Amino acid sequence: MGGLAIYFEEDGLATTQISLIRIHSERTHPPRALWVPFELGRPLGLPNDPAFQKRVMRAAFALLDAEQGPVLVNYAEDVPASAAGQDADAMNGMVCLIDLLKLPDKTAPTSEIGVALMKEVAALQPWYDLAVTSRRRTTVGPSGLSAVEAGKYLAAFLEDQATQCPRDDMPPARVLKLAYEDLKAYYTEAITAQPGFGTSKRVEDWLFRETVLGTALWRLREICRAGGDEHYGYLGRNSIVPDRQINPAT
Amino acid sequence: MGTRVDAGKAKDICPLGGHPWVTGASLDKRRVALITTAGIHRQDDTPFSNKTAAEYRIIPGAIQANELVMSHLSSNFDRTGFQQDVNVVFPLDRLRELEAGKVIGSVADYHYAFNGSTPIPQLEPRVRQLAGLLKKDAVDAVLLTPV
Repeated sequence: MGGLAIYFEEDGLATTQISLIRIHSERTHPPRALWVPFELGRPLGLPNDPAFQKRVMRAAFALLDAEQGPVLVNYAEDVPASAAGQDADAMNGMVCLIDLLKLPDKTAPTSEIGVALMKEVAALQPWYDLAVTSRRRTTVGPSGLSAVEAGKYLAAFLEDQATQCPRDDMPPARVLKLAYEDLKAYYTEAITAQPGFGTSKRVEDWLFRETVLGTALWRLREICRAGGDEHYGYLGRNSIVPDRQINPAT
Repeated sequence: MGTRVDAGKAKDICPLGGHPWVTGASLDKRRVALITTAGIHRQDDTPFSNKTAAEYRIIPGAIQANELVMSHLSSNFDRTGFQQDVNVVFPLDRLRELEAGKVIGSVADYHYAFNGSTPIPQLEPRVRQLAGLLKKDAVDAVLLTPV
């Protein structure tokens, strides 16, 4: 991020930026940077809080008035503790019932984890639908597959890495990546529509420790890391399970 | 309080050298563009991948929040905030409000997104290209947001 600012500034454009990782800004020396103490993924701090977000922006824009630089300033206001992942009980009561549903069709996976995954996807559907209705948007979609289709592909891949890719216009590893990211988005959009959905860290813990999808993703990570394929290996090393789930102490 | 899970990779971050410094008009006269490294784009755009990570995606200024999705390659940041409110990552609505309140001069016609886990030198040609496009859009201030 800091490097981009330097390139823009060299080409005559004034920049200011928000910084989430202070040491990166300390090393790259962007012209103007406002370090914020927020969670990665939330540079403006709080979703659905326009006043909070605009305070952050005004602080970043204020750096344009500095007479010389580089300028690296700490933003003083943090998000409330209740929004910052401190409440371990925040997800109590989260529900994901999977016992009441029939398999959606005869092409559904037959493996134990595949069957369970499809039931789980179906069980979350009402909450996902509610999320889409209330937010009037969804971030599910880059794979071009429905959640059911993405789940089928993931389940099939776990059983046979040579399984037929559901799209022929992209490399299979890319489709796989987009498919499991769409599933993650489907799950997290659904669960955060439930009342008292808790913090982002608890949502992540729920996804990777308490769901069938989480079990599938851990298994997928091992498969991708163990295989010799360059592209799947990259996914397994970098892009399936977050580092803080792998090494909780970090 | 933020997580610092990527801080350990700071050893890979190298200073580029030089301290360019551009000044300009007061904020209420400036035309502002947003540049994000959050790997966001329109639903119909080609998603980011490790082969296209050095590319950028165009985000028209008139876009609605429900048209934006994310295909960033990293799994090491929260996405639930973005799912609830685009503005926590890409504050275009807030920028429009600051324009309406005459805090800034105007909002650019086009904004841009990169995939942030890409080594910065790989992005340089595209950034230089964007600098020219931004100036054609009369932009004179850029707010960069990470993820």
